[in-house]
Amino acid sequence: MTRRLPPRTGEWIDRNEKVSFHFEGERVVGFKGDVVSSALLASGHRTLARSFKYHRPRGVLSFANHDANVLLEHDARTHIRGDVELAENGRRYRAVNTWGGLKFDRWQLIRLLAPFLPVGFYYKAFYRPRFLFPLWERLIRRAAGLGRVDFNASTERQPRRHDYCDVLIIGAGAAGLAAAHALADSGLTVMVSDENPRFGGSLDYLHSNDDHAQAFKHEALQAIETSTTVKTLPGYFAAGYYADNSVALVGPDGVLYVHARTVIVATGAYEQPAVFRNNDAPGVMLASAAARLAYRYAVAPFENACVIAGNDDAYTTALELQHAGLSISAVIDIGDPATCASRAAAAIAAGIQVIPNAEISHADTRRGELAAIVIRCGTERAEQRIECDGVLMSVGWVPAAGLLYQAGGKIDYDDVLQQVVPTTLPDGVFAAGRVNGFHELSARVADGRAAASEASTYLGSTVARANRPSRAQHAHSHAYPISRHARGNEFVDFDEDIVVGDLETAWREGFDSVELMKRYSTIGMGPSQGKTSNMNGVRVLARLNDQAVGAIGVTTTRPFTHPIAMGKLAGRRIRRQWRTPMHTFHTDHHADVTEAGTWLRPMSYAAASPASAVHREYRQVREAVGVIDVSTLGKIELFGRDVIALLEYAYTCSFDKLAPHMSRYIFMVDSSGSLVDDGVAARFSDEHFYITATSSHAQTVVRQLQLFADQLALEVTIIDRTFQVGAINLAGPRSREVLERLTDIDVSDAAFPYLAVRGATVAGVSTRLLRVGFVGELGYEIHAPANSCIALWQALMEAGDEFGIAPFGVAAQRLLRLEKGHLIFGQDTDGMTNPFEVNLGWGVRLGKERFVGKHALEVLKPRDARKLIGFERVEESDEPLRECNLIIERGGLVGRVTSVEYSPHRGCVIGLASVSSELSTSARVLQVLLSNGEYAPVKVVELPFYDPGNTRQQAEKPPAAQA
Amino acid sequence: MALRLLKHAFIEDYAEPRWFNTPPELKKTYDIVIIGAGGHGLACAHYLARDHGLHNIAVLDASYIGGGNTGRNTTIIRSNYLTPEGIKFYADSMTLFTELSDDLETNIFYSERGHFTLAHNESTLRTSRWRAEMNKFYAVDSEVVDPDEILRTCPQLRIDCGGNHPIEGALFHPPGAVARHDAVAWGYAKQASKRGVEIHQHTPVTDILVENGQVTGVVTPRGTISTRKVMCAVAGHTPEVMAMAGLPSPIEIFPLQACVTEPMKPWLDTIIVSGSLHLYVSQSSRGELVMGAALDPMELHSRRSTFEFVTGLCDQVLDLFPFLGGVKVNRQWAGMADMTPDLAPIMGTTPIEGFYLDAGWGTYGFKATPIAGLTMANTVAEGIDDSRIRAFSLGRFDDFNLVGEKGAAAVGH
Amino acid sequence: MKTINCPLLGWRPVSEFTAAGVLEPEPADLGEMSAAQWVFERNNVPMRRTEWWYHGATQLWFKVLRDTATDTIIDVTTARD
Repeated sequence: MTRRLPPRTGEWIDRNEKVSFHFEGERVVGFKGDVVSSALLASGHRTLARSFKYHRPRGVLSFANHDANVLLEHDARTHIRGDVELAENGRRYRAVNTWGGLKFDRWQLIRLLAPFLPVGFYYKAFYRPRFLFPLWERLIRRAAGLGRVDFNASTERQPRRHDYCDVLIIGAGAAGLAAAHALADSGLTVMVSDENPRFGGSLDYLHSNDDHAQAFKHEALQAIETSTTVKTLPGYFAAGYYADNSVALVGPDGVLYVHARTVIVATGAYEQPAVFRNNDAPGVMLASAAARLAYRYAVAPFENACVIAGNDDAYTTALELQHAGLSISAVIDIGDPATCASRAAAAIAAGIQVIPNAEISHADTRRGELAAIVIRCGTERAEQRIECDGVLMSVGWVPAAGLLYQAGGKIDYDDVLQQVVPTTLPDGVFAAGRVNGFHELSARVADGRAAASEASTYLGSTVARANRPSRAQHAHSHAYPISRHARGNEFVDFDEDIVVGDLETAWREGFDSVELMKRYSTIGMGPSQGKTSNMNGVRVLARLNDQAVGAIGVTTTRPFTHPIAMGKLAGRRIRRQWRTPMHTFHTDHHADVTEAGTWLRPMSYAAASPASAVHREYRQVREAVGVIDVSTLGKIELFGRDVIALLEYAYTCSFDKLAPHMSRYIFMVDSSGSLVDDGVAARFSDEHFYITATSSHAQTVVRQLQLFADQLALEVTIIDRTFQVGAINLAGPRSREVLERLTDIDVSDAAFPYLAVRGATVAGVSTRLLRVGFVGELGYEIHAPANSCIALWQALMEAGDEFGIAPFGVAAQRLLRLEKGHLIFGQDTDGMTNPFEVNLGWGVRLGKERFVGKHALEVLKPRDARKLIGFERVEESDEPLRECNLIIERGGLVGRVTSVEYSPHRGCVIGLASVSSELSTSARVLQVLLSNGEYAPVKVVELPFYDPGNTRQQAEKPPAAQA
Repeated sequence: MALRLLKHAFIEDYAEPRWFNTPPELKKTYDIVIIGAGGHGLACAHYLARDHGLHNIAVLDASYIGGGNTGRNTTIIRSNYLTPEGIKFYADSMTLFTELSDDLETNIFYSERGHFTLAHNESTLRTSRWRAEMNKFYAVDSEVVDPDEILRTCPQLRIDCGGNHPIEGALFHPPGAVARHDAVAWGYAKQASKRGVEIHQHTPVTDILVENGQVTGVVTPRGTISTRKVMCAVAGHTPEVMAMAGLPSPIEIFPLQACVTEPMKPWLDTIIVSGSLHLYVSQSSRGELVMGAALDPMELHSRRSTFEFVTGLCDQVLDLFPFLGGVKVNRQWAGMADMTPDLAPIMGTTPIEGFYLDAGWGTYGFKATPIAGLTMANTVAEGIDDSRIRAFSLGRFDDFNLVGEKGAAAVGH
Repeated sequence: MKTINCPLLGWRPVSEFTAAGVLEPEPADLGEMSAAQWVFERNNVPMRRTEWWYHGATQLWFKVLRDTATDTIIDVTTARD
């Protein structure tokens, strides 16, 4: 059986090319350009899917991307909307959420339970006895959901793009085209988008026999096409309006995020269904859906249909459909009988039977599909049954005003029009056409021109001034297109299977405001987001509350207009990753390179950093010499008259005693006294400092210093050198000997003492040398231009060759520093640690006039509640002692281990722990609660674990190895 | 099948009694006025009526029942906090939650799904262990697990995380649960109403009257009410209400956004959280993926949505579940969160006699609903702070006695 | 997407900026105020206020007059204006 109409110009299908696919196992042939649903209808299918809750047969409703019942899937994708997605050759489509196929869906038995499943039933059942709930829940989860996700699907990401224009026109129907036409030669940059693949909107299917309308359309399209300032975006829907006139457009190529100076919303209106028993049966559809099917896809969705008329549009659409060759047997007028004759005249003249003053009783079904409509009419209100396989509903409209709500517009119910209309809109946002309450074609066109004129005026440009038309004095929407039936099944929400009785039940139970009713009944919460249900829900509620519809208010319309695939939203996958200048050396030498924040750093020079490798690198540093890449350190240059003032304010210590060419350890706290970051400050002259910050905080510290300088109006220039300068730490008793070979400056302890800084040429590279001691050995940090670092590194390796120099990684560095009792910020401190708690009180100069955190630290200093201690594990055991194991005293929590390592120097496990101060006395034994529940005794020891006299990092001659 | 459903089936037009009253008039005087008809305010009203025999109570709301953060959160319930105060408090909350359906005669769909907080680096793994050790010490079921163990529960998860910062382990909290948020608010409203508490929706409080340091009443557009006790549970609006009582506030308001996908057949049985990726995701019993991210980066008293939120979130979610590229996001929304300096709530008595605060709930208010209601009821009834909330007093800031929840503030909802 | 009128570069996307909020420099003398008040008290009712925003593209701080009820940015000036 084919329901294809004869060819006509302007149809969206290409009859020269066939598309063949399977639907529920049955072969279907359509034409290129067919969407899945149109191909199915053309080949005689009426039931295309099952409903969500009761698994009732469902077919086409809107044919405008809110046929949320017709969700299909094939092997590669799910939730395919049959009414808008093109049929693809060779696909095997099926309806989602059936059990055993569409025809004999076993889930439909659930309908027998429907009387037991009133709205909100799940709040009232399944919770007693409690142990049974998980069982019920499993059943509920089994029935829940629609499509099935394919876990093997490949990631589909589409790039997100940005674009800019003066005027964005959303919707290329009559109003949008009129606006675009008016602006085509204005010189303003214009973008026009429409969710359909072709521009024209209802001009194509509700006015296709109107020569004036067609002439207008062709003229407008031509003007747009020839204009160099108008960009067209067919197939792009506006998903949401966001701040500052940004609109997310979604199309076949992904997301186009448009930032417009003005936006004209010409999105039209959603036609609304009538609510009566069995209004969900396949064959019952919106009148505009039938028109779209007939004119775009040349499909006759029925043999013989009745039109339910609640407005004038019903008659024009009936005539339009008749013109397309469809059989309309009757128009059932449920509107005001007094005015029926005038609106019906043309239809009657065209031979269509008109039944005035009618009410809908119900639809009759045969095998789940529409068979007849039963009405009451005449003075007797006798029931009359009209056999038909199509019922077309034309009872009203709801403006597609979601974007206007999101833009902050005010939208109110108009009692004359019986619909909501925008009343006030924010600056730069304009509405035009049906969304603005105009239904007559001429008014929509005039309104579009007026919107264009207002937008150009707003932009300081001018096009031919056009005034807004005045709104019609009669409604295009029926005030209450809802007929209750004693046996129910009058569907208000098709997505969620909600009938009028459900709303009544919700109302009786106290859910009597629009928001509560929505949440309790779930009306409007399905995939079509209430486009065809919210308004009827509000009408039902208003009647129940005995309130005016306008007093009810509406629920907020949130983004998105239509659901959007996550792969389109996600855009390209972009991840930052920073590599140091020595990166290729590390990878060439099989380093265990891992991500440390954004940086890549070598943990050790052996895959997976086994303890043996870490200990080898450790010994290298303790006994001879090693090099570590510390280029990830933040490096900040500070110049200017007020540099000291800035540092004094930003850091806790005092800089007055720091002589030029010397450095010191520094740390900063926030205003609440919590430690933020640490580093080294090197002074090169009175007005020139070079400081370091931790790898993860470098940018924050730069920003913070800049802020302080701005706030205090200090004369300081701050330059972030982090990426321009690399850094190498050369450490170990033989480090001086290595350095000596590569530089001409005197590196003797007398000439270049501990904590001194020097500018020097090393291996021909201009560098800064800092004598540091983080790992507890004689050592130099060599800072050099990033592009010279690898050469410098190689030179160090060659010069150190005779001492057995080797690179060491972060893991060995951590062990070395732990033996030295140096803390790692973020590991031995947490987000609320103050300096006094971690033995850094010596670096806080409360006597300074002013610095960040001073007032808090004054309060915190006498607190002395917890203290960072060093400990040794007393007994050997296989059960590891881990970082973050707790310390327990008499059953109470008294502390936490922050760092743990096996110390080759001490020959036992050592660590740092934050404990209550009264327990911090040396030699005290504490109990650590291990992860397995056992306790391990540890002994508090003095810090540091290694070289308490600091002789090694200051020594003139290499001392004997202590490791 | 519940008798209640049988009645629906066989009695024509059967409906249960109204869940909550909507008295037409405000009285001139109430013993207690609760500002905010969200989960917390209604729970407090319920426990005041049930446990303390106080019935002359009005719950006022500027909007509708459960319309604030109660109806906007992603309903995750857990007790794997970091501080002793936090762990014990939320553990008590979970105990109450497990019995709540029965107590409220309303199925709140409390569903234990297990809760994974993924660790993508060493320091998060360390923090996870810190939380696990603290949790275990206070008898909360919580442990650090390795990637294999995560995969056993959630085989669809991509451990390599798209190529950057692979998952190294997770904090696993088996009792982690979700619940139907609206039902919690409605259930409390129902029980409170039953005991005579009045719920006045669409009744904003515009001022709080204080004389000599003692609350004497509240002002609304429907008239002034005299009362000696006011309980404020208005997450997202706390600074404004505190200002009405003349109190300065340490709270900052940040938007928190969320979104849901179209409903699909349930496949994700656990709750997945990643602090590093700033996301959390679970699948509801309707089949929708409920997803959220970190707070918006600027203070704002508004519930506007941003496109950056939803695009950023999807970008990260696809690292964990790359096969979701074709799954569609249906709707996004936002709430407003009260953020405190130490990421712990502010509860109990205040320097104003008769003014009680239940505030500062950050992103974790829903999971505290029952225990907050219970302890606030005790506090309001007795006029002194319940022992369980002493650590959360407003006065702690005066003394720098902060709660250490911020110590390891990875995102975790 | 919000756009902010950078005094140097013109309209730029908000993603280039980091909002730091109202930040007063720590005074040497708190006067009547206690340390706790200085550190913790906020005035966070919805209002128009001047905030510090950092702009990554210019690496500069700006003073931004913003309405925290509507997120409307009323004025942007360079830090030292």
